[in-house]
Amino acid sequence: MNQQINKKWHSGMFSTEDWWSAWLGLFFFGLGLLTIWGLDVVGWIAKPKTWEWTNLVNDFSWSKLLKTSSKTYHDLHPLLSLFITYIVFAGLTTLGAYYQKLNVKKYFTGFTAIFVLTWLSWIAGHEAHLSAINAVVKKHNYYQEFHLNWGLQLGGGASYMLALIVGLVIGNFFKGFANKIKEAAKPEWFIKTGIVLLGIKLGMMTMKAAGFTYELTLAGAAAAFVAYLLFWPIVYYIGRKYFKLNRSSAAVLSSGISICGVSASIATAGAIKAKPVIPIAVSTLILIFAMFELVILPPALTNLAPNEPIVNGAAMGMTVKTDGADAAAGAILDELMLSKHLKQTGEQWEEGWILSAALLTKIWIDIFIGIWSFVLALVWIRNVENKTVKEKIPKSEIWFRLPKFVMAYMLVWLIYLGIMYFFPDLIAGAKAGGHIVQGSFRKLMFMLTFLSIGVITDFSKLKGMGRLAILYAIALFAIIAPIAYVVAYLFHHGMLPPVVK
Amino acid sequence: MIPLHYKLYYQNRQWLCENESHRFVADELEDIDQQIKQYLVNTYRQGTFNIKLHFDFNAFPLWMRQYMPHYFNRQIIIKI
Repeated sequence: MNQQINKKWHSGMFSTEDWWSAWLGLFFFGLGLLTIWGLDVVGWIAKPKTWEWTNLVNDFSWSKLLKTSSKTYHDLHPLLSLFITYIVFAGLTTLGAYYQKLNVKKYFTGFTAIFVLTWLSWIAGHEAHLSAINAVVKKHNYYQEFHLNWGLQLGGGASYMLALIVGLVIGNFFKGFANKIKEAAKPEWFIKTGIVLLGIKLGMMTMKAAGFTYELTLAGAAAAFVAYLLFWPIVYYIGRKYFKLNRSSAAVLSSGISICGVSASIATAGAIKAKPVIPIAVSTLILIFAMFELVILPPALTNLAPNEPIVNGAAMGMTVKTDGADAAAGAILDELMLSKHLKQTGEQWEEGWILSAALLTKIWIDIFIGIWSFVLALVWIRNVENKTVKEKIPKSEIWFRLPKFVMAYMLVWLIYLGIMYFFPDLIAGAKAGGHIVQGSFRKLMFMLTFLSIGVITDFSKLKGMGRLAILYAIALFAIIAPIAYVVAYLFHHGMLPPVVK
Repeated sequence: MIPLHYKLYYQNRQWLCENESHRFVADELEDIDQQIKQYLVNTYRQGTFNIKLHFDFNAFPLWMRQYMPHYFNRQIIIKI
């Protein structure tokens, strides 16, 4: 069997999902930048259109369902556009799978199935009765244009929820099929690539409202730091005192619940050198609860606090564990809150700010993991472990645990800042391609995440988790969620997304 | 200081530590340390050893590796 050892600083550069999300994200970002020189090599990507089923049945045309992302490729048949999209995404991710030493044949067939199901969900979710909002959006009121009598008015959230439902049905009721496609169900890889592309959105947001973006970034850092200092000791204390967990289990569970789910539980377990069975058990629990959070929190927050979009987003980032589930929850929240606000006031908030609020808190937490694990390792060696030999903690541990996709996200943002401050003449050109990459490319990665996260979630694994599951539920809903909301409120209260004019 | 490198992994509820020439197996990491120390005492008699144990992440199931690609590397100093 191949070894997976991190010995040198560049270890894993071509063999881990984390690095591959950075490479893939930066590659798409680079392609998007070519519009600066008038070269559109990204506009071929397909995107779904809002459609209405009676209208489609009466006069079927693929162009009612799909279109290319830029006018450069206007003449391309929609199905050809979709096929090119498939070839590019299947090709690049299969290349990544090869270097990650996955089973390439299984990955390719699995990805093909996931891609097809994702697009079916995406197109279905754009049916006007599900998505159209009775208001003018980008010069269209599809609700009126299609003469609808009723509609759920969910906006883009309908597609996200549909993909999630399809994934969950497969993961829980068609387990044989789920096992066949699991090799390609990589929600963390897909979402991390999507997050790198979201760096473009942050760059564009900075170009539009620099002060607000910096404020949002700093508030996210402060909120994540404060929340974490509260979460961890409380959960650890309860785990030790009332659930009689041993030190290792309590520490790993505290990090898993408080910080960033699976990655934090692995990092913490590694720092205290726990036996790998502990983070494996805790991670199974985290993934299942993340699904409850993802399903319950976005609609709950949309209805409980419809006038606090940024607070809701930041609270989501501190509550929902794993990057995939958090970004997914943030994206649903973004769509639901925008739709609700538009429906109620006729005013359209700009897309992406609520999602960014959810992600910025999570990204700071991701960065924090490596440092926290290093500190915890020192504490553990000095105060907990039996000292029979002298042990050192290599500083390289911080580097190996630092999420590389976050570096790529920051790099993308910095490049946009550089363009904004030093080459303002290039802004329009950069925006043209960037808009497509952070739009169609990023949304496809998000959609793939929604479906994949459902496929790998098997609720039956909760059986036998006993007191760990009870502690997790209590900690999450009675401690983490309320504290996260209070902290998010303190740091983000009064912030609103810009209004589309 | 004499450098020594080992691969460390976890299998069937036991820690395993090995390089091309030696293999140590124990339930607890502390016992691995002791086994290494004993081996050094028997082999070298004296000296200071900088021992790096690199964890092989293959001990984790495939589905978990996408969340965090690193467990830990351990560095112990043994003086005999």
